[in-house]
Amino acid sequence: MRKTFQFFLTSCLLASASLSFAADERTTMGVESRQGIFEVIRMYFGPVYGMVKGQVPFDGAVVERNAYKIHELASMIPDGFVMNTQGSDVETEALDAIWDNIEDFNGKAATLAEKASALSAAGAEGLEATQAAFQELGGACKSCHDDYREQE
Amino acid sequence: MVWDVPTRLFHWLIVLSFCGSWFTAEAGLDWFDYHFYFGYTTLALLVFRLLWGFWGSEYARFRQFMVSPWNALRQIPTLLSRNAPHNLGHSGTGGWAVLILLSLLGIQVGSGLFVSDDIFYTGPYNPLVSSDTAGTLAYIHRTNFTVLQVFISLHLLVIGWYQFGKGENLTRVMLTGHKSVVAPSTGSSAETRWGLFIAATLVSIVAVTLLVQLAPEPVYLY
Repeated sequence: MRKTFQFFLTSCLLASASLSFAADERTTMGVESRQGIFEVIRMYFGPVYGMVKGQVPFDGAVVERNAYKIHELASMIPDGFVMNTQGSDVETEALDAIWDNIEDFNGKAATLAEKASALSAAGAEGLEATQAAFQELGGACKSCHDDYREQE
Repeated sequence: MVWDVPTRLFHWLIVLSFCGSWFTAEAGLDWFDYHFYFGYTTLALLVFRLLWGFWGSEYARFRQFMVSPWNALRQIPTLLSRNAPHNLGHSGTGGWAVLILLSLLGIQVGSGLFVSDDIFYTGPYNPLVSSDTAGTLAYIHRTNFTVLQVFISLHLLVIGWYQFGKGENLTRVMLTGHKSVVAPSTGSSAETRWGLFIAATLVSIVAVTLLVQLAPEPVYLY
């Protein structure tokens, strides 16, 4: 009797665990994909940051190219947040406020795209123009992080 | 004479560094370069104080003022009593206050080296850790600052208590270095040993400069 009960209990636990796993897997994939967008933005952002800080020699062509890629990636940010992960257990720095203000959030992504194409244009004009445009781009990142990214 | 010149200089420079770091952290991004410089200054000062705890004159030495935690706790009634005899140097509880404040400052500077805002500023050792670890250290940097504020407030409260409760002006002592006590002199001098002072200053500046210069190159993929 006790054995049967134990078996029953274990099966129930396993079943519920696998069900929640299936639900979690979908969310995890979504979260990882959208984090990927930001990781790739970081990849293009890095060298420009290095140039602005004087760690890397200035190369206008790289600024032009990388900033344009950021412009393209910015257009993917809203896609990454179509899946609402409010209240999910998956670890994310995305605040619930995103989906409460999704239009504002998407607007900030559009601003980022704009600033990125301005930075791309500034690349051809030299380091000084790049620095100014970089500040603008960073400001666009920051204004969204301030409102919608969890502070560690 | 109780506090030699380097000990006093250290104390007031760390006050300046602390205020500067606080201000530049709050004053917006235009000031943030200076937040880094204040951090490096604080680190150099801490290295200096560590060295001075061994090379300094009598009352600056750890050996002179560090007592067991139990002894420090037993001295709390003396700290609270209005009429306890004045003593030279740090009391047992005071010694622990020094150690705690120095450690908290160490944690603050140490964690700061790894923090990045992912946009405008990157601590020199940020490339060495994963972004998860950097996040945890950013959390420590933020939380530990509150702990520091609490302990510094306690420090100021105790100074106030000495001034108004016990009738002893410790601020003046930290400014002039002199303290008149009706206590048997230990005969040890608090005269500054200038050679060691210069050595400790050089070592701490060189150490921090190297630490910053030898920071790993950030990796840019594309």
